Amino acid sequence: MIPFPPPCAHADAERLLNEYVDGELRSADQPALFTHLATCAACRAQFNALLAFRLAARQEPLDVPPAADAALFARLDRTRRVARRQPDRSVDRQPFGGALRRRVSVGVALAAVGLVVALGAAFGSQPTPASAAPGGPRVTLTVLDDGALYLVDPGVTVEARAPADRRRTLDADPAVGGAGALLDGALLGDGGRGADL
Amino acid sequence: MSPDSPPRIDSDTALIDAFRRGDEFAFVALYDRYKGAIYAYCARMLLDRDAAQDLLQETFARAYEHRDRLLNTTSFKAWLFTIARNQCLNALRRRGREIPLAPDAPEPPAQGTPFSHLLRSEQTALVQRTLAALSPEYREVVVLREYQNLSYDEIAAVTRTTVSSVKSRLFKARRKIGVLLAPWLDPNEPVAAAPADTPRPS
Repeated sequence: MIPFPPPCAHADAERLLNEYVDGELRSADQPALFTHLATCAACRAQFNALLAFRLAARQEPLDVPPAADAALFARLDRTRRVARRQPDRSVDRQPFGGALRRRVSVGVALAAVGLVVALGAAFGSQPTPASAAPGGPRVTLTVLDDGALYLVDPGVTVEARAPADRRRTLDADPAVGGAGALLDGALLGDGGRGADL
Repeated sequence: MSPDSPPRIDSDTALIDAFRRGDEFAFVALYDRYKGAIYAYCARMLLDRDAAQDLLQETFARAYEHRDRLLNTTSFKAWLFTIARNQCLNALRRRGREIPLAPDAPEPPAQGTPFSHLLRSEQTALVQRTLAALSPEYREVVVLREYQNLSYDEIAAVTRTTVSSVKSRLFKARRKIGVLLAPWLDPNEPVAAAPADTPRPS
């Protein structure tokens, strides 16, 4: 949008005038401008207006207040202090740098250790399966009048044929395959048939 | 200067190189050289000296913090003005409306007669009203050219446009200035599209 029409209809007058005011007009083009100014009142008025504006514009001194200097240097001091407190993250920006060098607080580290200990205690105190427990299930052979009963903790009862005069308590030995292996061996070694476990 | 004293850094290029290497004294020297220009640019863009003071601080703080982004030492001045220009445009956008230059405390009287003081203050007020009548895109090229003496190329670098665009905007802005000032230069000229609350010349 052109807010105001050019001062005159001459094609190059405005360009020549402005470039002259800005000191950008070539010497070879200056005679053409002066010839035009001598005959065009509108361009003369525009020329006078630009010179008057420039003169008036330079009447106003704008000195930087001293408070501005103090405010800037105080701010830069704050910036430097903050920068000194911040850790160097340049290593973290490198490939795998962050994964290889992470700083965690003491609190977080203690919490992680505590969590691991608590989980270990919780899982370690649970009843272990019969086939994998270090202590092994207790297998008790009870010979009744009508046959033998193998009582396997925690509550599995197996009925099998066994010698009538034997009563023994077998502690499962994990080194030989757990309770199932012991039970099979005991039954087969006694000449009976394998229990259906 | 004694032989043991460090060499004085005079040229802009040496100062800017030292500044990019983190030399704090070089930054202070550059600040002293350019603070007046940046402050004047911000004050005339915003027509508010208090806001200009804030933007002066913001401009140099950003220059200090982002000095690694200054790739070419020869373009330091344009780079600095670009930062200030972005701050000014952001402030104008935030403001949403343009506030005339706030009256400051009276400056100490300079040499001259009371009439010359009156004439000078009237001229200053007239310039401010004229600038206020220009849109920011016209005002910035006028300020950069008339007050900062930047060349067309430098203005194009600051405003991130072409030289032909700078010329076009500058010529149109001056066309409007000519119309606004015509009543003061020629009392017989009717006041056309003068800024609001602008007193007519007697």
